[in-house]
Amino acid sequence: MTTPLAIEPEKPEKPSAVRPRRRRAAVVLALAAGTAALFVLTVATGSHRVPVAEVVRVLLGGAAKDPRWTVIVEEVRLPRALTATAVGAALAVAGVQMQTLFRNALADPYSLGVSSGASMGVAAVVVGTGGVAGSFTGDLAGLGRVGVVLAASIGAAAVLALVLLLSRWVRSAVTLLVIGVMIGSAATAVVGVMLVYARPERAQQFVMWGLGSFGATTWPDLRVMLPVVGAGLLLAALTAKRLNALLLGEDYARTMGLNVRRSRDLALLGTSVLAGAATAFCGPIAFLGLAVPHLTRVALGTSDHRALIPASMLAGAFLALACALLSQPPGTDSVLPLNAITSLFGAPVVITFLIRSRRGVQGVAS
Amino acid sequence: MTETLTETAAQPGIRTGGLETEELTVGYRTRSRSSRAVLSGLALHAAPGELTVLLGPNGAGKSTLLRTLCGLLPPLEGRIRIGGADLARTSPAALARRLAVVLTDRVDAGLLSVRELAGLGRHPHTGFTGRLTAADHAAVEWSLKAVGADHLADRPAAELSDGERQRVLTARALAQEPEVVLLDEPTAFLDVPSRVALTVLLRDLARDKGLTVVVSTHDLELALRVADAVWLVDRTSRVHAGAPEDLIRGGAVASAFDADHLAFDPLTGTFGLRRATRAAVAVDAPADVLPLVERALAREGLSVADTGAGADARVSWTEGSRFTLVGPDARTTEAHGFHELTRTARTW
Amino acid sequence: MSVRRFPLPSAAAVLTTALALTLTACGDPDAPAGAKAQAPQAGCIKDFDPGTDYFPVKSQVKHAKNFTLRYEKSYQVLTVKEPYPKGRPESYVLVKCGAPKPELTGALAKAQQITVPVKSLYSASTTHLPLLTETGTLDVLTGVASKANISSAEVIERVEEGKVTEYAKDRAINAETVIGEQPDVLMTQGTDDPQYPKLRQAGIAVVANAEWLEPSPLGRAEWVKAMAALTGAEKRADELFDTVEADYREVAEKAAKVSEPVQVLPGTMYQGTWYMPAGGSYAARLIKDAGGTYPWSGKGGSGNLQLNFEAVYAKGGDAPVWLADQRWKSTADAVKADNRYGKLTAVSDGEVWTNTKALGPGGGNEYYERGVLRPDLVLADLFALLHPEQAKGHTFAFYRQVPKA
Repeated sequence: MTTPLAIEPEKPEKPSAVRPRRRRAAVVLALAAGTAALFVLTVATGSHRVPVAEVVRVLLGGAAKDPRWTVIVEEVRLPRALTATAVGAALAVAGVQMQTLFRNALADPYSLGVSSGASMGVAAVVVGTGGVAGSFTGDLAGLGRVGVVLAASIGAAAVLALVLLLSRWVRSAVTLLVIGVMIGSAATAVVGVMLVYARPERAQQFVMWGLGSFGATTWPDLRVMLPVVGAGLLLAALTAKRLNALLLGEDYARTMGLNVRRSRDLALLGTSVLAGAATAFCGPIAFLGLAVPHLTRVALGTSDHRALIPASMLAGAFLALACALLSQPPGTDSVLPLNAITSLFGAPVVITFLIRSRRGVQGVAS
Repeated sequence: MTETLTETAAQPGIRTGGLETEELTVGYRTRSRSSRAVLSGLALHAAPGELTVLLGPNGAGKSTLLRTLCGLLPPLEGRIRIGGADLARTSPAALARRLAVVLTDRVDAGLLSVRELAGLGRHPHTGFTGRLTAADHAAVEWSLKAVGADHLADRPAAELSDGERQRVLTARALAQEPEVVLLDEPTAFLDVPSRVALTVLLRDLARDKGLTVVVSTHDLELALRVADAVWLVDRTSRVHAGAPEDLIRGGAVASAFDADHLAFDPLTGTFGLRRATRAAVAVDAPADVLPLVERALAREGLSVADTGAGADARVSWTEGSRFTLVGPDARTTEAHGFHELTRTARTW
Repeated sequence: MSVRRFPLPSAAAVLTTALALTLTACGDPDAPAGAKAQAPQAGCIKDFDPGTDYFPVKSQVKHAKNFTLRYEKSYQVLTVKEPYPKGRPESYVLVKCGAPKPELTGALAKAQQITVPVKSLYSASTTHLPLLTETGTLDVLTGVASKANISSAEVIERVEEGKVTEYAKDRAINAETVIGEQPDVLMTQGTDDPQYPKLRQAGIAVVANAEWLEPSPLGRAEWVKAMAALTGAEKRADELFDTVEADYREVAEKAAKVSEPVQVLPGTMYQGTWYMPAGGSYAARLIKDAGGTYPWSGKGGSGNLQLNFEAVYAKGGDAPVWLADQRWKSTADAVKADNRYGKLTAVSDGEVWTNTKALGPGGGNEYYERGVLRPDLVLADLFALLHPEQAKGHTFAFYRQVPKA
């Protein structure tokens, strides 16, 4: 997840500019190193002890002494680590885009109802189909995982299309945000009604999807998810200049020559692709998309998106990997629900960090 | 950048430089395709090298005019030329390289340093990634120096005082390297020294850098003192243009702003309280104290009699701001300081 | 094995309610016709004599841990220790009809008094229906939460005759309906509902049936005796249970003689998390009694363990039999759901079994209903699939082998 950082090389002729740049470089380097370390840790450790040399051998394409080790590293640990990295980066960057676009510290990747749309899609597949028992055709089992992912993507895309369509007529970003929240509530309500009439085992499957998980993705999933997330991240990186212009508000952005409407559409598209892909494969993962942008701004000391977006990718990946590790502590067999980890462990960390940083939540006008 | 970069400047013959309007009507389009004009038939010119001040009572349409001039509102009729180029036919990006704006919106700069905030102004000049080149950095440093904010460069923009922030926002506008700078009420939140400093700064920028600077303000007296040209919107939505003195002389200022209790004094270029005089007082004081005594008595509705004749009362100054007062009832009292003077005079 | 209830912090209440309400009942078509003779109308006392013991047949509770029965001369006390998860014990005083209401003190002073045998019963869960049909007391059923998922022909017939009121069609209890109809008793689904206190205030006895909190299969089945205490079918219930118990024992003893228990892999993966029955659970007990074992059989608790696939694969990936609970048409469906299933030995060997053989017409699974009363049949299935060589010719009741693809 290391994209080239749009950070200026230090210029000796401007000594006053060195200090903040050096700090940013240090933060980015630390995040990159931390992310790499956690990635290695996630792949090298787990419930079952696999010798590190064997892990390396598998990663290099070889077969381990014990065929089970090959499966564990190749089919379990690597997909999980890659998923956490990609989804963490995706949600963090989507959060940055939303917070800047709406100039709202509480905006997150799901503010436009993307995850609710995805939930509706999943609920429709898990709950709504195949009412007649005996014929298994409509069953989730028949569609397999592809069905769930496809349904989530369609749901997220439907909400995105609706929001983009409405944004044609809505001039104010705040109005759009309110509309997004209402679309989200409506989708959630529909899900609630569907669950009432659902068979209990299916309702349970839906609830489990909602707990969030990095462990569900397999290689066929990754072959779809990684390119989609990559495209979303690239799109986000390319909107950095536009987002910077929006920091002072839409009027200033217009007077600086920005096509505000196009920028808004690009940011909405990028956010929805990222949040939609993350939600489709991992369920609605709480908290990362809201908190990482704040943490990264404070750590970097800037709202400049040319630094903020790459640093948020790293910070998101770092925190997601940390949550992945915490949700499956090495040496134990058990799994804690991912959203419980992100929220219960993450929230106090973030609150402490923000209070200690004295400036608190900054860099987003409210 | 996806904006088309069409330059429409090359129209020889029309080019006059600065900011020019032709038969301009500004206002709002309402939903039903009709429109509400606020000001119409405007033929205004703001020249390079001059500070042009837009004055007028609240609600006269200053902001509407300014937002139209900077392209945030479409004109209802007529044309705006920036450096000779028709604003309507200039792409937003090209326009941003000619015209920069400081808006009334109170910005929350967030976690940006002063340098970064000013650097946002390079937006129309930077490439696809927004990366600042050495030339861009130089322009930012120049703009900060121009507004006297270079010592603030590494400070967080959120920690600036109001006056400092307006300077930095002005620097951001200058960093766009525009020909024309429009500022909407830049002095609104500032204390008096900061207002003076900013207004003078804007005039100096116009003079020294050859910029066309248009500022709207409430600060009439300061504007009339500093401005090279004034656009004055009066109560009947007519816009008068000219040097401050032209407008003062023509009575436009007085008719636009005079009110029940306020009278514009064309000689001093200031406003005075309009009050009926109750009585005339003979004053015996040295020349450097006399205006202060006059001012204090005026507050109590008393005028200074030119000569001793016809005076209803008398005030004599002695060293140490002691006054000897002889009231209309011929009683003599002592007053220590101006406060006691005005309290006693109030009883007359 | 079954993943019937998961300890989900959120939505747990909704789900457990949902579960209990929709589990489809299927009456036992083989219920003895003579059972009708024990209809509840029979047992009222005439000329009450305080010295007479009016309970000639006394049910002994041997396996169930969550309820007790105590007999007095003219009344009995049914106590449910945990009427719903983490609920406080509730006692019900069941007074033989015709006997005077006992004056009780202490803990029982405020207990609900219910005249038995009851003449009308509202059932919140279709798991209750076999308890009625198999003891010949279906006549008392006058209300069900939802008609939609009933699959027993006997019960459906009764519903179609218009003798059964539907009182919670859309999940929420319609309190007005219940109060208007005034049934003698409403039997809960083992979860709490905000409407229950209101119904009690309106004079309707609400009796908890929390059989699902019972960890042992025979314990769950024994709740037929709690139902019989209300319907007066103690004798038939005892006989039925004794048969189930004996049959269960017989298979369990056969299984105990097997030299080494068969390794099985129970549970299913959802979103990458494997839900594995804990060692103290109902499913774990069945596996053990059927002569099987699995790596987490020693991990206590009565619910599910949430495990990562790595651990499951490393410790149980080579188990020859996998007991899943999905309605897969073939093992290809399993691999489609998560391709890592394909790495399991049981999948490559085609030894995947699911408890989805007996599905009702409304979509319910009889394993979760009739299976509750008939653990002997469940155990026989498990024994047969774990030790096929010792159970040649076995007809499976609930389990089916997923065809290998």
